[in-house]
Amino acid sequence: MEIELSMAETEFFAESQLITIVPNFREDQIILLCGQFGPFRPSIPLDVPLWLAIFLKKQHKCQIVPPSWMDLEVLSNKVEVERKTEGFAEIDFHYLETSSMLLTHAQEDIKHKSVIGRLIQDLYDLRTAKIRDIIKELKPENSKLKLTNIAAIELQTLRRLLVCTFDTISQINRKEEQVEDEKNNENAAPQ
Amino acid sequence: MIKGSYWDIDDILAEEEPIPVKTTKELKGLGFLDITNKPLDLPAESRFQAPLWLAAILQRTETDIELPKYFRTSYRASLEADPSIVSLKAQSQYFFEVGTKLTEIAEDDDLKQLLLKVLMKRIKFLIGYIENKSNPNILKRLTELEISIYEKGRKTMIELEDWRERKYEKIRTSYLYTRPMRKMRLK
Repeated sequence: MEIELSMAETEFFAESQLITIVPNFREDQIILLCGQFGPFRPSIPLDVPLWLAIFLKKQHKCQIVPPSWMDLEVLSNKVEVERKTEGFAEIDFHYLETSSMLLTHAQEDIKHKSVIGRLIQDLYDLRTAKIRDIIKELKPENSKLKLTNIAAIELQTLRRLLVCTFDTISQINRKEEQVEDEKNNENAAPQ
Repeated sequence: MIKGSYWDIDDILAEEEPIPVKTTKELKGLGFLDITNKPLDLPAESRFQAPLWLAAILQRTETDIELPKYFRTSYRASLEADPSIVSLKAQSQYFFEVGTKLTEIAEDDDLKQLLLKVLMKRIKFLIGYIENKSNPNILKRLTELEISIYEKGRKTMIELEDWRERKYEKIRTSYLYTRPMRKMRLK
């Protein structure tokens, strides 16, 4: 069976990223599989995994501090850079998942949330357009794509298609000797 | 994708595709291969169609493989003009698989280049189709390989849309439960 990542799984990976919260409760250190967090003291900021932050947020036990790149000015600069440069601009690998989760669950902690949501959508649209251009320039001779700084979800949209395409190209391209070799290996294996 | 493994069902079916062959010598006792042929022996210069797996074996004796219609020069011209609108399914459901096998058997490098060119153009065309709201009519023109690529792409697009609407967060009723109970009861 082929192992395929789904979007939900990609988001699951994003949830283990650390994010700063300001708790409003008192609690000793807690031990999780991914590490030790705490002690929690009211209005003393600390870093916890994103899933824990959202879990606490849902119970109104903390305030989430959005990551530095989710600032209005930083983001609008990013969009400018993205528009000007040819490759992908450098951004958090899980920017789509993080922003999507924060904009749904921690709306009151994000200043200018509608503008930020729109900027992230702009950024995403610009980057998808670039991905489309890259696909257009795909050639059978060079099975290489320059995807520096691509984000998790964007990679996810490409993964199944490109793996399939490149596998097919290599199958068409392979030489007869390789076929013979493989056959010999297959015969040798059961013994 | 072309797997080319022993157990791959598409690989097995691709080997059933008829390939025209032509004998150069008389073949003793093989008259049954050509349906139009009455005598026991297969005379020289006889032309008939054999499945790809048989053609590959016959080629080791005194038989020439002739390329199927869709790989011949006349059709190549229309393929090279614009591969994306041609209905390859009408030619062969396993166009690329058969082509790959033929390049291996006949050592035809031009054919390989043609296959790669056609594949790239058609995949690029397909990716454009997958991203926009798709028209299911296009499936009628695709070979098995392309259909599998198309389905992979659609699956990703649907998943992406579900994710963007955050549908994964909602707890849904299990499919097993919503299915009519009548069907689940054992007889």
